[in-house]
Amino acid sequence: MSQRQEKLRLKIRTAEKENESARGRLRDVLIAGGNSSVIRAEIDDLHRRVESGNAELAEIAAAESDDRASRIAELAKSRAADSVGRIEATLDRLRPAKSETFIDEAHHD
Amino acid sequence: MRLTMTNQITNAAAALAESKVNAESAAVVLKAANESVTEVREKLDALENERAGIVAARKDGDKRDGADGARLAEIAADSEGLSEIFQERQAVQSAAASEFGRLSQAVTAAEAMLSNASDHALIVDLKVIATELDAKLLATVVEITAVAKRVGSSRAVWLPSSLLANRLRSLDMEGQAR
Repeated sequence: MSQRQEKLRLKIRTAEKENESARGRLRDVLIAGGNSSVIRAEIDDLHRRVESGNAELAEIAAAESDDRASRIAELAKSRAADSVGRIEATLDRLRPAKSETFIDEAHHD
Repeated sequence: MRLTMTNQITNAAAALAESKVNAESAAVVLKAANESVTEVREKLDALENERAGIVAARKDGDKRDGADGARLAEIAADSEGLSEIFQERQAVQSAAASEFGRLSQAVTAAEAMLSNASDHALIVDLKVIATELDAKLLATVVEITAVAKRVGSSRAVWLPSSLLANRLRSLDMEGQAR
């Protein structure tokens, strides 16, 4: 896991813990009949932080998956080309070439 | 047939590429696990060196105003804590090494599959060339015999090498035995 991913996971965990604590405070305010709008805004903000962290993690995972797929495709292409190249080299060596004959010499003269 | 062989090579190469990338990822994990074990090992070694230094100094009469006992207790506690971390990391390292070994074996197997697919494709193509050479050599020998007869030669004017003749004879016997 990259440092960026570790930071994002920490950010998400922190926001989730703060969210839990804010929900507790919201319950207290609701029971006490106080103004809950500030805590609700705080909870919304924490939700947004968790969502944005998860979205960034998903983007990183998608990019990693793309990188992996293109690396596999590139490597597969190269290994297949190597194998086919070796086969062709053997066939080229064994395929009958045009023989240098008496007639060819006469033709050149 | 040729298309099938090419597909087999392509598929084997794709399987090999995937196994190689998996093994590369496992190698990165194993390297990190090795480094994390070394990190704790070095800290444990440093504590052990310090402990041995204090013990040696005390043997030489250096008592450091009675501070050694507290430091030795600290070292023992830290060593105990670090030993637990060391064991945890060793377990992670062992799992990573085992996973790397498994994936390396998969790479070896995939290499063998690709090599096998290439060899099968090569055989298909070599048979085409051998059949072509067979027909051309036969036609050439027939033509040589006819021309030699026309010029009045009663003896063969061309002979195959002993190696070729023996090899063809052996292959012919094998063919008849089938």
